[in-house]
Amino acid sequence: MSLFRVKGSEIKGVAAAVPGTEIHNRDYEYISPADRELLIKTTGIEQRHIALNGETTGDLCFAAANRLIDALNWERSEIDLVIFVSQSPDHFLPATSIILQNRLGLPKTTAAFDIMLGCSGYVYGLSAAAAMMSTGGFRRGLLLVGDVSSAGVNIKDKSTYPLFGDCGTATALEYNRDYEMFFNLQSDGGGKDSIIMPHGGLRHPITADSLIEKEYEPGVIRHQRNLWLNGMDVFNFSVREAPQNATALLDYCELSVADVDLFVMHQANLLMNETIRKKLKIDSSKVPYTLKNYGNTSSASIPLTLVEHLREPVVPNKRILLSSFGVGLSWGSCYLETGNWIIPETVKI
Amino acid sequence: MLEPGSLKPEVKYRDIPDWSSMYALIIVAFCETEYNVAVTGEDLRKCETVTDLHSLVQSRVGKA
Repeated sequence: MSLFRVKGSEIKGVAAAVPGTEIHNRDYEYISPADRELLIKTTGIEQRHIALNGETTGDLCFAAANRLIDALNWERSEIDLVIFVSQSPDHFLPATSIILQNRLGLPKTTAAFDIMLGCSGYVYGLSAAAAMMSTGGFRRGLLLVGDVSSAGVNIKDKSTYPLFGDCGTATALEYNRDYEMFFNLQSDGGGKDSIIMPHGGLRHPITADSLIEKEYEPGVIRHQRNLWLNGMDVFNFSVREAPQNATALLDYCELSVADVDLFVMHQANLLMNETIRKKLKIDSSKVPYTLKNYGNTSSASIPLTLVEHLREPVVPNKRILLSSFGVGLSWGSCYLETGNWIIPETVKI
Repeated sequence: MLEPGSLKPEVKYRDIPDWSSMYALIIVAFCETEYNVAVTGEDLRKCETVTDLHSLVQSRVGKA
């Protein structure tokens, strides 16, 4: 079991940035008006912010990080860790974290590296950042998490296109000897085909054939460089594993569901998330959503939901359970408590 | 759309006008929350009628 606690680093603030362009699912012309309403009702997604003007994940995280650094009044010279988590980096190489070290004006004493994860990425990234910060060898760290999923989906694929929105986030961490976070991380590569972009890596380099579109079922047209999503398999996986994982973490923390003040899930879709919530028997008043206005923002969905839900001044010592699940298959949860977090309003670029 | 009360046990649910994969997900979610029973895509492909689905769920209730 990957159940562990990290003592020695705390979150100081969270910020998010989205592209300024809003796309509404009621305007999605590839399905009938009745199907659009069913889609919106079932997924909870009315609109999404989409990077139509070439904004990259790095650009969005850059905007979020700048906003957060300014809001915190941090000296950039005091930041010495940058971790970037995404499945849609700016380049195959070099790592986007390193490019952002330079763009953000951080010193060359900064340790910077990428983690390639999607929906589960925030919890994984937070565990890595917290563990490094807890050594005491770093003063201040940035966890930059986001995705431009719209770059991978085919507009003619109703099973993916209406779901995903783009977002980049920044989470600020500082060394704090007494602060604790708890994690439970899991993975199952046996489910790799459930959410996959088949071509583009070394297993299947891009050829002319990669971009040939094919209709796999009515309303599902895509090519091999697009995101493929087996909605049923992902649904079965998520509602089976996420509640078990979160329950095991609460047991580890010697807490019950009733002790949790806020349960922030990866924002997949309303049907799936509500099924998980009901299985865990968590009251809906404790479960915030950003699906309606932002859609499924992949790795950014948990920090975006924190930003949208927690307004300043953030009440300290609120008990938060985070739960993330998706592509990999990869999933995990984190238990932590709020501090005097700085949370600027979501930036639109 | 189906009129309320008109869904009979022998109905082949995939033949209902406007049936889509979204309804399959809604059925699976319903089985999870109401009966704590997992129904997979493979299970659904083996079921044709409402009765088939009912039998499947009934055979798994309480065995999670």
